[in-house]
Amino acid sequence: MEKSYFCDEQVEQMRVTYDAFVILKIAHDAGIDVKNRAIDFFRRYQGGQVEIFWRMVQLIFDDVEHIEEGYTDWGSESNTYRIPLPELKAFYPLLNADERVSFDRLFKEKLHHQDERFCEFEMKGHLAEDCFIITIEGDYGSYSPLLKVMVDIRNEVRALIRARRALLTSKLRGLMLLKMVHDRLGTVISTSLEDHLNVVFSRVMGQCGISLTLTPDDQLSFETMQSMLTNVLDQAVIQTNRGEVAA
Amino acid sequence: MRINLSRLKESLPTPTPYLQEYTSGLFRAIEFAHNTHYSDEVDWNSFTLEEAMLAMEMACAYEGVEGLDGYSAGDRPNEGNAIHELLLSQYTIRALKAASPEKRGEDVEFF
Repeated sequence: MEKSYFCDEQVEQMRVTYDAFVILKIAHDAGIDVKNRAIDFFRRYQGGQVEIFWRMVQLIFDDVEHIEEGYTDWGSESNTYRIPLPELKAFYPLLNADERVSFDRLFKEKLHHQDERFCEFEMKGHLAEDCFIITIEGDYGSYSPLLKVMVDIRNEVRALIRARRALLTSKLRGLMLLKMVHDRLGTVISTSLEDHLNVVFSRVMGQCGISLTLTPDDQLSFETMQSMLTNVLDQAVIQTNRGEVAA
Repeated sequence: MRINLSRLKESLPTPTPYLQEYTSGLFRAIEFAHNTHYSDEVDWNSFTLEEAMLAMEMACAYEGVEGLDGYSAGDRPNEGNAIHELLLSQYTIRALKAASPEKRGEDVEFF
């Protein structure tokens, strides 16, 4: 039974080839069609995977700008790049000042990556108004973790934008329902607009005398809610008018 | 070659815990990384990113032949490494097939 199937040179080839392989998998999962591009990912030497890394960054983020080059105090190369992230222009307006500081710190920490095997190889970075600013120091190291961090941050920003927008829409719709009741009946309903719209709607209907218990999992369109509430308010107004006429 | 699978299973040692954690997707990633060179030959949906990253960790941890000198005689530094285990099992299967035990007599049941 063999204790090892590879010589040291083959092991190095294997390591750098796997780095290129993982880079392509990250790109594939990010929506890049690597299946129909015959990209050769076999690499013989450390540093051979760098070209694939930058090619995938270009495909995923549409652009890479090399903005600064130099050397670290210990003589390794230091290169700074600007990589667009236009989603930030939609993201920042959704945050208050404290959240902005908190996210800036969080993403700066995530962008700081030090290679486990090549200790001089390091990435540092931060998010500017509409882009990543990242600095890569050192000549040899694994590049797939760097790409993963950037794609993960982009995915997180996109998910946060979706969630915040969904919450804003929900709150506006809740407000519209409350306004309907106020305008028709003069009643002010006390409820938190942070709650799920189904829950707000249930409370509004409850205040109008209709017992309804919806959970966040129930599927009811906003148009249906408006229609149901309109009917209930129409009935309530008719009842009130009848009462006034009788009096 | 006829193999009695039930007898083979009975003869196998108790599965090592770490081997049971290895997924088929991990081995698919390893096979693609070793046996193909071009991205159009890989089924990128047949393994997860986590499995590909784990395969890369295995590659980074793999000890080459020259490095074995630094270990004691009984040590097996690559034991448990998924890349090594896959190559070992492929070698074992090739060796079994090459042994062609059925040619040594009729009605030979290998296990």
